[in-house]
Amino acid sequence: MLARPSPVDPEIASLTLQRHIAELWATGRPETLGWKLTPVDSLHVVVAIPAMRSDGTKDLYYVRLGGEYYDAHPPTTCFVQPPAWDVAPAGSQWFPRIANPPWFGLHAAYNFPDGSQRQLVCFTFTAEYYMVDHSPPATAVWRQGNHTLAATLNRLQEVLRPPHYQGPSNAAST
Amino acid sequence: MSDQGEVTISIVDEDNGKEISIKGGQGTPIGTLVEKMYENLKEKFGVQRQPDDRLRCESTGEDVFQFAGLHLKDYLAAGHCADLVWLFAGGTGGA
Repeated sequence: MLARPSPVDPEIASLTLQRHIAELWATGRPETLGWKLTPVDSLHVVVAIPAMRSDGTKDLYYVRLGGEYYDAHPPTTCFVQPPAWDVAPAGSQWFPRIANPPWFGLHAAYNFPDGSQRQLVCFTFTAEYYMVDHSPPATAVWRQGNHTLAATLNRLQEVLRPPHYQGPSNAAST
Repeated sequence: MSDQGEVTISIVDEDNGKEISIKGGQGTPIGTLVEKMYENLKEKFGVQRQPDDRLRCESTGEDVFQFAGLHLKDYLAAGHCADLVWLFAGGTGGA
């Protein structure tokens, strides 16, 4: 079992988060992929990520990343809805339906060990993954210095495309 | 792609968002290019090859490792990855 994440110094976390965002955006790839960045506060950003269904239909999702544990652990990660960036509920256009690959899970309301029930974007590049009992292979565990929030965003982009992405959760199944 | 047949492949390391490139001739096996990629990833980012690594063509999503035995010219002629952008992703766990 892996250790639960512990909050890190918020000033250092903020600097690291902002540096990694700047480095990633400087590559030009986020622009190519259509990602849009909205700063929320010193420890949080929202990234708009375009999704594409197998028939070519495009949708847009918003993911809030937080640096509470960064980068000792991955960013906190949550699908949110505009305009206030509240957590996106299941059954809304802001919560996607995904045919999960083996390395990914998405739960609208998961029972966390601390007694709370909340959204869980479940893969090894979100902080919340480590707040729940998991025993991933060593090769899949977040490694500070090797992984950045780019890993989080790129995996999310991958599942928001065919063959994984099925459409928003308020749309009829296809 | 150059006139001499030398081909440049761009590889995005999705774990850190950084990009590298490798070059190969038309007769170079894909497996050799993959080895070159790992040498480059190790030198620049300390990445070690692992069994759960994935390498996909960006435009098609197709796994690249399966074509290790194909020469580059045959890989391209078969239309496997015309844009020559590969996406490298290390192991990921979840669900």
